[in-house]
Amino acid sequence: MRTKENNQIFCDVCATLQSTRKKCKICGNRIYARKPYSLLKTLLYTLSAFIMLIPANLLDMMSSIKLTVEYPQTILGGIMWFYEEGDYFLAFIVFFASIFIPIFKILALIWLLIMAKIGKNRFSYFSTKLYKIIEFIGKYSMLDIFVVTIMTGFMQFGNLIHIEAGGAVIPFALVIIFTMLATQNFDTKLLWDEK
Amino acid sequence: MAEVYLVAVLVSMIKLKSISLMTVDIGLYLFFLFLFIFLLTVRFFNPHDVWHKELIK
Ligand SMILES: [Zn+2]
Repeated sequence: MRTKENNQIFCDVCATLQSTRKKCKICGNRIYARKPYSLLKTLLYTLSAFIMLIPANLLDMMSSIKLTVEYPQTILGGIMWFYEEGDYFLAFIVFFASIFIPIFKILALIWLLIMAKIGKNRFSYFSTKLYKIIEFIGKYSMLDIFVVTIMTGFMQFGNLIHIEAGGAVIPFALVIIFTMLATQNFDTKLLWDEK
Repeated sequence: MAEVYLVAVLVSMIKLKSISLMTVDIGLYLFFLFLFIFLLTVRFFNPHDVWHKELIK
């Protein structure tokens, strides 16, 4: 935060007002009026996440190998499996965490980038709320990664049955990491700057 | 992130149930307990306190 009147910057770590522009005198935290290269970094991370979304949904998330016969499963396949088993609630949770949240986050980030470029406007309040939402729900898309981790850990009985992580795990993890980095690097103060 | 892990444990349990017989043991309940205490810790920890001793009550 920079107050335009006295040119002071608020330090997020120790919660004091600082008059320097580089390092906080009390805690040594790097301080800045606005996050450096905020829009560029957010844009690049969002684009990377979008590119990774394609292999994440096309490749297999995990495959169970029963007596040397392989049964691969994509993200959507896993959701369909729950749906066919009659677990509509779980199907919904996995759909929400693995498909809805990443796409919603990428769309929201694009919206935020446009709004930050425009500066203060009548959507600023809404955009700040939107940022808070995507910052909060981001971690829930880790669900599928954790599920694969637990499943592969449990089911290791050699040729009888074992579960392997598929090629989609790394692209999917990257989607989540990239959207998280994009969210972190976005500076909400840009939404309120008068241009 | 711990609460996400809890949901993942529950989802995996249901997936594993279809493959083989499974029973729940004390570890899961201890995990619930850990999660509860962890959430409380996160809820009450304020990093700014490190720098402002006079404000801690
Ligand atoms: Zn400081």
